[in-house]
Amino acid sequence: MRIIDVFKNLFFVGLMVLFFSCFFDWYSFSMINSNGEMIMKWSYHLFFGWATPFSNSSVNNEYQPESSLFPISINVVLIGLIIFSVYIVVFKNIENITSEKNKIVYGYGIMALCILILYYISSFPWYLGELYYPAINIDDLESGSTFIYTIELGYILQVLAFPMIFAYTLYYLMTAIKFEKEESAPEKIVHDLVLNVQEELDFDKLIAKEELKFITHNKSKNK
Amino acid sequence: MSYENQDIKLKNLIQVCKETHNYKKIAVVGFILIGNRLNEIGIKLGTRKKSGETLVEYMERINHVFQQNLGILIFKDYFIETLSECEPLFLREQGNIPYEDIRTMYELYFELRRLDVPNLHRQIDENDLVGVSPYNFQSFLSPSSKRKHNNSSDTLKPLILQKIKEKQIALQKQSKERLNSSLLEEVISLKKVQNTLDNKNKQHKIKFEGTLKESIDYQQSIEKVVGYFILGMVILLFTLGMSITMKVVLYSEFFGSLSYWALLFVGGGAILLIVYFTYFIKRR
Repeated sequence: MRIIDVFKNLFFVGLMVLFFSCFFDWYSFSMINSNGEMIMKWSYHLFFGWATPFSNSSVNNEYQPESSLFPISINVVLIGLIIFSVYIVVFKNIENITSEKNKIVYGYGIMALCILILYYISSFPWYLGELYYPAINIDDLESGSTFIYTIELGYILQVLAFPMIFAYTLYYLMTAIKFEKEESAPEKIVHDLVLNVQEELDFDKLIAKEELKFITHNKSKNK
Repeated sequence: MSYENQDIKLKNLIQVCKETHNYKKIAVVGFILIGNRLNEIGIKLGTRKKSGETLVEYMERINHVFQQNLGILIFKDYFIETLSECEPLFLREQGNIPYEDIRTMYELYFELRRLDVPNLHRQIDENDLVGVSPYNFQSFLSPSSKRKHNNSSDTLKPLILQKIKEKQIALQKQSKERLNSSLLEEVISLKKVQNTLDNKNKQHKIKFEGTLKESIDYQQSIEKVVGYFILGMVILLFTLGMSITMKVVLYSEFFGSLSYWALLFVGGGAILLIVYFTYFIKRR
């Protein structure tokens, strides 16, 4: 197996990891009281926003985060780019694409996915606002409870997916930008083109017509 | 139809037309033959005849293009002068031109047939060029090897350009005596080398023939994917490191615990960056 095939497979695995990351929690914060019971928990999901298993708890409601972190439209774009990239990696091998324009479009398309992942990774801590990042346990000595702030599997998978995807993406884009097939019109095409523009001369027909004229002329002369 | 067959038929046609005194037909056929030959030459040289353009204008345009770009004339002045005398008369009189002009037209046609021009749509292979061995440095200027010889080629550039100029002048002189396809291909090849040298510092795409897989430059570029992977890790680690650092700044009370992570990521990123520069940038 060639090295590029290894990275192509890694790219595909990265896309799968990225796809699954969208369906796991990205962040959670919870409170455990002095008895070791969890009395508050909020988890962030990319599509469903903040969710909690304690719906009717006043303590829980007190800590409810204000808003969703990422706009749903960006999440839809992410899913769209993942599907597009899967299509590219499965059906559009750069070594076989003949159209230069398509190659560049595909290259920029999958690079857009990389940039979007980087946006998610880097902006996530800022969207969290006052919530701690990446993970921390805070013990409240007065009440004896513990606050746990931590990034979850969804975000970790997103982080893991980036290097898996980046290498093949950059290779794809650089190849699309750097390499260009030298177009050469085959001899036959030029030959056909020449035939196409040339005015046809049917010598046999011309000779026959002229001979007929000659014969007719001679006959009429003899008469 | 081969020229041999065509000539036999043409001879028969002329003979029978002479019998019938139909000189107009001989003139029309001659004019069509010249037009067809010019179209063939033009297409091979990459210049198609425009609609409404006379044959003389077409010849002048081809000459102009090649004079401007390569300093050579495809058609001798004699060709254009002769045709510029015959063509207007032929068009005006609708083929009824004097016998002498018909003869001149046929002479011109056979001269045009002797004109050997290459098919410029075909990629000129360096190996096709006989007697241009001093200019084989074209491969030396190929993108893959260009990097390695960057400094030395810069030093040699004025000398090479001077040599090219000398050779071009010699070829231009030679073309005035007798133009043939190999000479024209040689002139074009020199022009390409000259352009390569002149535009050496500009960003150019790496051209390949056949499939991408077969390109040596491409095969070499595949190895870079490992470097890209390291670069990706560097970007990721720096991004994570910077994000944590900024959070540490905001929550200074957790400096002790969070700064450890920040240091780990930024430090890891820095080490990988050094690895990337050492093995993938400096070694190029």
